[in-house]
Amino acid sequence: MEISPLQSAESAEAALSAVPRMALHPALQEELWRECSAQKSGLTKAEFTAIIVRIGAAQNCGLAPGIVPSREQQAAFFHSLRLGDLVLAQACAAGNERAWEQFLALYQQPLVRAAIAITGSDTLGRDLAGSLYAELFGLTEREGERRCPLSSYKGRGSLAGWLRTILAQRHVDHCRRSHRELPIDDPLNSFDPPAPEPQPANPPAELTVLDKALETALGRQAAEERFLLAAYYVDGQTLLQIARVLRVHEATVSRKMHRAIDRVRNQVMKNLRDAGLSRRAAEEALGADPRDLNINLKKLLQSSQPDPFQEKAVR
Amino acid sequence: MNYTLQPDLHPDADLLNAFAEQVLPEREQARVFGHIAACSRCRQILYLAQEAAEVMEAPARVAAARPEGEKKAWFAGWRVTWVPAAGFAALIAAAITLHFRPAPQPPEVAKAIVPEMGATTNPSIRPPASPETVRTSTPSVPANARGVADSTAQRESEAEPESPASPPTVVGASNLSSAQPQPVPPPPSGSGQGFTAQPVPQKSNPETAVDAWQQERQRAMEAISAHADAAAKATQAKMHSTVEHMASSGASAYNAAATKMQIQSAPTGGFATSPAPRISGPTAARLALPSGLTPVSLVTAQNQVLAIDQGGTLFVSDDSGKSWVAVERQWTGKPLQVRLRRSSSGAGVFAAQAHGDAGQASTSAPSSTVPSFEMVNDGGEVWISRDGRAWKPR
Repeated sequence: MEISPLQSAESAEAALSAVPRMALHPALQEELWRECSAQKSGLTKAEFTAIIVRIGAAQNCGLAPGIVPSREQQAAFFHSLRLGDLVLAQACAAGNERAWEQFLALYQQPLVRAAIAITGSDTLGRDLAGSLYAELFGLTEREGERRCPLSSYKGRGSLAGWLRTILAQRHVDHCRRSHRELPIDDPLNSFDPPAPEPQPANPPAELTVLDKALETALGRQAAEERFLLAAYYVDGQTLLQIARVLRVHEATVSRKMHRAIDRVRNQVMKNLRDAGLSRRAAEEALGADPRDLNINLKKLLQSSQPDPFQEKAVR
Repeated sequence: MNYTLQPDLHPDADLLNAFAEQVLPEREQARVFGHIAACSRCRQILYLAQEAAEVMEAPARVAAARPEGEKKAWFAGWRVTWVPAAGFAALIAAAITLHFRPAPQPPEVAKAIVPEMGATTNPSIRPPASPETVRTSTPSVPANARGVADSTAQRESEAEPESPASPPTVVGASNLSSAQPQPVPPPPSGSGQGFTAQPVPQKSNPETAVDAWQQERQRAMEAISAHADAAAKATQAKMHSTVEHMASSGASAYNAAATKMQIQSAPTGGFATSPAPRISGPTAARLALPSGLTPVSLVTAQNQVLAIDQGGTLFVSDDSGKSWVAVERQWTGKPLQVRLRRSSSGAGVFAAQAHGDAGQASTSAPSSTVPSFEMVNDGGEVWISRDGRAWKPR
């Protein structure tokens, strides 16, 4: 099937002309034009200028709304971006054919490999990559308009990383939506209602205090330490895997992990003392068998409500 | 509310990717940390994106490490296996070498044993090792043993001066390749006759090895003695014919040939440089001087032959050695060498002729010239004579 970009160059230029304008210094325009080699993507200088003006106006060059950015602020904003990737993505979203050719040459095969790595299956990976390509070409419509996910790329990270994250998002969302879907005729997966949980006996008072102290201590942990604890104890990631995600050395993760555990322990001790236990009683409570505790660590670590992000995920 | 299924509550892909690439400012990074610490979905996205990044970046790293167009060597994949394979091959080679290596033999040494008086004149009792014999038998003697033999002989020569009663008859293997007379080691006292090469046990108990080596050497010498005689005869005949040919071919050609032969036979300067000239066994055996001693020097001029025996007596023969006359002593000291001297016309250049291989030096004068003889004593003094009978100091 012949697939073409969602818009022609003329319509894209017309669409770009509709965005709010921002006064961009001509010397900065020339400098940015030379730096990002936008002509390789088939963009004219006018198209390039329209794209970067739109990007700067959409984020007001990283400043609060209402503030008019100076030339230095504009330069700092644009230099902090992956402007080459951003221009390519915007050109693709605008329907520039030469930009699409360059995009496919750069990212087609890596994207398939990434999808296969994410799904762990060649078939699923190719399906995932194919569905993303369909969306990137603007085959999906929302409210009667074709939408291209590339338009949501803001250039803070690399375009390749953004594509990987998009693939991972789609795969995770697909799995989370479908993991409860069971075939009806499968006798092995026939619905088996769980047995009612036995009523727990009243736990000792000190264990109840310990539960609350631990919950409070985890809630007061720093975000990074809670992430480390969750990644290690809940997700089962190794120190090396966590280090790769955070782009630090494995030893650094180990050191931070020990520090986080010590802080949790000290905080629990403090909470127990605050609850009226003596030091010796608090130490004895800490030595209790974890199986006696009515604690769900996963629930504790996940209980804190994350801050809602205003940015919408790409659908 | 199950917020994990609410996409509006999660950071978008751009923010998550910026967080993973560590390009967010601290405030935004802490905010994302706070979210992913409680959001398993976003953590899963980060983990999967990280796995995909490693897969995507691996081929790029390989391509960057190897320039385009550069082919990978076919053995590159076998690089690790070369090490144990080489070690195994070395072990096998060492085992084969140890298995087939011959048993070490004791070093051997050549030892000169002086024959008894009159032994050389008796054809039935010849010196057991002619130079040819020694040459033939030397391959079984290690080089270091030969060196030891020479050095041993040299030490013995220095320790005990030459004795007229026990003339040296045999040289070591190092003297075989040259007609130049060499110092001869004196015989050890009480030793038997003939040449024996004796093994030298390494610095201890030489007697057992000496006996074994002596027996082996004796057998070898007996086996090749016939070949040695034949070779000596052939060499002598050849040299005589060469001299006669030169004598008849004119003075200039003779001079050139004689000079060449002199160079070949006396690389160290001629007869005068050798204090103790030696003679070969076969030559000594064929010359029967009236004294019964072995001649140490002889010279021939036409049919006249002059010879000095080991006792220092000068004999002259006018019939090519068939009959000998002892010359009355007219000189001082012990005569050691007799030779031809240049005549006034310059035609009587002596030609060194090697008889045998042991360094016997004798001279022959061209038949067309008047012979003139010189005799050198042990003090280096020279006497001259025209007929070999009347001598006067030079």
